Amino acid sequence: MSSNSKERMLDLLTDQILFGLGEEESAELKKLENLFPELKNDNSLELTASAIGLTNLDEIEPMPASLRVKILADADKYFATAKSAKVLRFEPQLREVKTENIGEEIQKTFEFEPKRPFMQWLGWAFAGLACIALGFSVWTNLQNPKVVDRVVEVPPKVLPVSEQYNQLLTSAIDLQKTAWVNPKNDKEVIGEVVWSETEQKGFMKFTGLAANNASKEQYQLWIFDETQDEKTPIDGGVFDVSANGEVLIPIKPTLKFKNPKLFAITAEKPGGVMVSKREKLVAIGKVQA
Amino acid sequence: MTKAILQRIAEGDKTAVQDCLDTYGGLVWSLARRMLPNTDEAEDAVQETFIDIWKNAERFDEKQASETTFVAMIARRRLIDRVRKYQRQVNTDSLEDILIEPSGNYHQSMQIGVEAKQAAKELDNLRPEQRQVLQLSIYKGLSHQEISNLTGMPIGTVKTHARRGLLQIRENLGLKEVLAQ
Repeated sequence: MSSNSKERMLDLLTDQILFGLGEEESAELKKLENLFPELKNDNSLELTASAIGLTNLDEIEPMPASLRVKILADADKYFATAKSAKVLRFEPQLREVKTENIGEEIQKTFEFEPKRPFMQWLGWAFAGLACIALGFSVWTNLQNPKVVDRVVEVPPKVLPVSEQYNQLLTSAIDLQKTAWVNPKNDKEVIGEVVWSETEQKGFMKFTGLAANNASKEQYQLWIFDETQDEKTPIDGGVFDVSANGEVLIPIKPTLKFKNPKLFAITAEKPGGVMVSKREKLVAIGKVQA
Repeated sequence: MTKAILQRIAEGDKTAVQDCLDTYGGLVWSLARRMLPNTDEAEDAVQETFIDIWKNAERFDEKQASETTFVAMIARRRLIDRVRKYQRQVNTDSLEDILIEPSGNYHQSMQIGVEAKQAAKELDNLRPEQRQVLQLSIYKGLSHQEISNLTGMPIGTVKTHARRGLLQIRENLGLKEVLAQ
């Protein structure tokens, strides 16, 4: 019975992490948590799923500077709130007042405290000495800077897209270049898609692709790989074109691919779609065998 | 010995926030970009994730997992919620059109943490059906019903593959032995 319950709890924990639970299953899990509290606090399955999730990353993209600023502002607010919460939790030390002496306590509270010139002078003297000591310490540190032993990981410098593109052109040993054509020939889209299988990196270059209104529709890249059914192209991500000039966009496919035979661009709703109806096909690039 | 960034955050060291963003900002952002459909969604999720990281920093136990994997776990909780919401809006009739056999995009030289590198190897050692189910679930956030529709496996089989695969990888990553908290 206990063993079955434990097995069931493991099933539910796995489902929770991988698929999410419905209301009934959540209630069942809650009951089982009381039987096996050690499993309740076990996040090893979740850590495992997260480690697997990390294997889906092929590159670490730098966080936009504007987002970093927002997060730092969030941190300021969070730490200010956390600090004040801590102060409220730990600092007030209510003095116990015995009710029989309450009159005396009130009297003390309002009692006028006479000035103590000598004590004041002593306080200022200590403050002055502290300032001198601080100044000396700063001066000493400037003369003999200490080596800080804390190692902070510095994120690798990220090159602008144009430089990344040039770097790929010079470094990739298996670069494939495919020219874009407009399937309807009603407007000329010029450019190419370059892709390196070994580096799993590539770029789309366009001239003539109309600027889109990102709140209404976005362009989406589809990659037709040799190993895949034509009905199931790989989602290459969405992008915007803000000017009618030359556009250079890095390719960020959601899955790895090996031998692309066709690249296609469709116009889709904002955020893109999982399956395109291919109603607005704006450019295709057929890889030459 | 150098203190972990999350430990410093848990102690209220605000300078650790900058270090945390330097070290994990790109990682969390990349996970969000990979899993979510657009930049706005990704930005919101990343902001929420970092607040969760500050809140959960004191739960980090370096004996259990690397800081990178712990941060990825916090990020995944936020991201998977959004992925599931997004996918509920998708017409399930079209699921058969989703890619059937995804494979990991991991790059061996990337700094993704000790467990993730090991997980990549362990994923390759799984039976193909187990690997497929785990990848569709973890990479794409698909439900067991969606995976069943997509692959033709009965739901029970999908769950069994998912569970066995996940347990096997956990076992081989050595995460089980140090879970007691």
